[in-house]
Amino acid sequence: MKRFGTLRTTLAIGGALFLCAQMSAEITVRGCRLVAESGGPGVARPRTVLSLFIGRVEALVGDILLLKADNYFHGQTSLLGRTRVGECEHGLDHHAYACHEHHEHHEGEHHHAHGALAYDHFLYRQYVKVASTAHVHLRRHEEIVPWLYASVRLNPANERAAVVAAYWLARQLDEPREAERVLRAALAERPSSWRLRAALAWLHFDEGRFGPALSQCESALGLFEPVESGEDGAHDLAELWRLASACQEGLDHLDKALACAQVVVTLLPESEAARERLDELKALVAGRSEGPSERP
Amino acid sequence: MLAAERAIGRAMLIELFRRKDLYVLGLLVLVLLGAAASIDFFGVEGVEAYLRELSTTLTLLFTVVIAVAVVARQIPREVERKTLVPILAKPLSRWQFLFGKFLGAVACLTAALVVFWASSALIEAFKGMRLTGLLVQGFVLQWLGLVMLTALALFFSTLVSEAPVSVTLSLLAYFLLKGFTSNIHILASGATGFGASALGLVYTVVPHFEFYDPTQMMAFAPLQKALGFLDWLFFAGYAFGYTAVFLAGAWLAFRRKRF
Repeated sequence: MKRFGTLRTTLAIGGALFLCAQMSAEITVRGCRLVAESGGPGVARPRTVLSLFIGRVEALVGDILLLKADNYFHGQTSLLGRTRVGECEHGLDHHAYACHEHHEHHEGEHHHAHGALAYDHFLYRQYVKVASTAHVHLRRHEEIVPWLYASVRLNPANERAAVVAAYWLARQLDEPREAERVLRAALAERPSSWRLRAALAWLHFDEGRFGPALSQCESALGLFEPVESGEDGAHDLAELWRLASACQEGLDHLDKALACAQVVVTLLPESEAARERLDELKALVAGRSEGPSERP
Repeated sequence: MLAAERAIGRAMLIELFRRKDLYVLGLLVLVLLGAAASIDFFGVEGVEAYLRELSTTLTLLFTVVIAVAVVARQIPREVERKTLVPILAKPLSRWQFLFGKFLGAVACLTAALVVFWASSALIEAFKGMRLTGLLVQGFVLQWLGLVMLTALALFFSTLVSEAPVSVTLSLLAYFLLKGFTSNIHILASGATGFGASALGLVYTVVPHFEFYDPTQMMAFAPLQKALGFLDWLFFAGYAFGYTAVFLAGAWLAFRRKRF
């Protein structure tokens, strides 16, 4: 019987832990029911202590899986800021090509080919041969989808995961309905997220549904809270006004589109593109106002 | 030649097939991978890297568990059952006994690896994935790393007399070494002077189990380059070198041990 000593101890501890968890879960459920009956906070979803704990683990794993998706795509550049020696096999040409293909990618985002870590140990050079992350950038984009899928399923409240997943589904993999589903599921968890509403607005806009796009865009503007301080915050807000302007133009409300474009110029006085856009709209409005008089 | 060692090894292999661990874990690989393969990821087709990564990770994890569970409790259990003294009373040197245990453990881990890789390949083939030559490379790479781990676990089992302690020590050492040694370069790349030299020394001396984890290589199999002859020479030499060191350590600890 001596050899079963460890097993017996483990079983006893495991049993005790299980009973404690059950008791705490029962107490929490009863507590939540009481709160629900009194109409206080927490009515929406009574959770047990156990599910709260597991829920947090799920959310954490979901966030890690988002990094995993990013790792597949960028070859760990976002984790270290730059890649490890030998991981980037595509060479410098990749950057020009990437910028050409995806206007969303800016040169500044691609540190990996320029700034490899200066670690030249002979063992490390061998290690890189088996552990290199041959990232799928511009080759097999669909490979990042399972990690994004798991990330948004495990933590639907992670707006970044939902926005990234929606971007890939709608713009790269031609699955706009799935993208909308992901965004709406995330919005159910975080209805006050301006980023999710903005992503939904862009999705509608890309499909030419200007009315719903404008509606979501206005909601996003109402909820806007700059996450980044200073210039980045202004850029985010300007981007929303730019979308609003484009939606108004799509709906043929040129005066409103012009007003939105003026806000963009106010927010980004240095932006040449914003000024060009404003001039373009001014010309359109002027043409519209001159138009009827020219008609016979 | 090596008749005594082979007899000891054969007994270990028979024991592995008598126990249910291998079958249960093999079935678990099939079920987990089958479930993972059946998920519809937003209707996107042609996704396979995740399945390769998952199968390689599961295969490695389960084989590590089997290998350590088999080898790390061999000597403590022989001592506990009082069967060690009668065995050593036979015309069998302590080295032969140890080497026999090592050979048996290698046979067991090879059997486990074959079962798990076959299960993975079955699921991959069922999903219509192309089975590349890198599968063989991944298999051999994992096998080399597990041979090294087996020798380490045998070394720990000669140091301690309790089987659970030996198993825990072996698993702890493996996962710590595999998890952390690959990150020494991050510290070393930011260090200067003595710190950099010390970290470089540590990086050179500690056994690198992470060399033998082909997860990334397998996940990106269609995009990955195969290892060359010189690379294989290095990886095989490194694994067998450390295996020899651990076996020598085990023998030194075991040769004058009193029971």
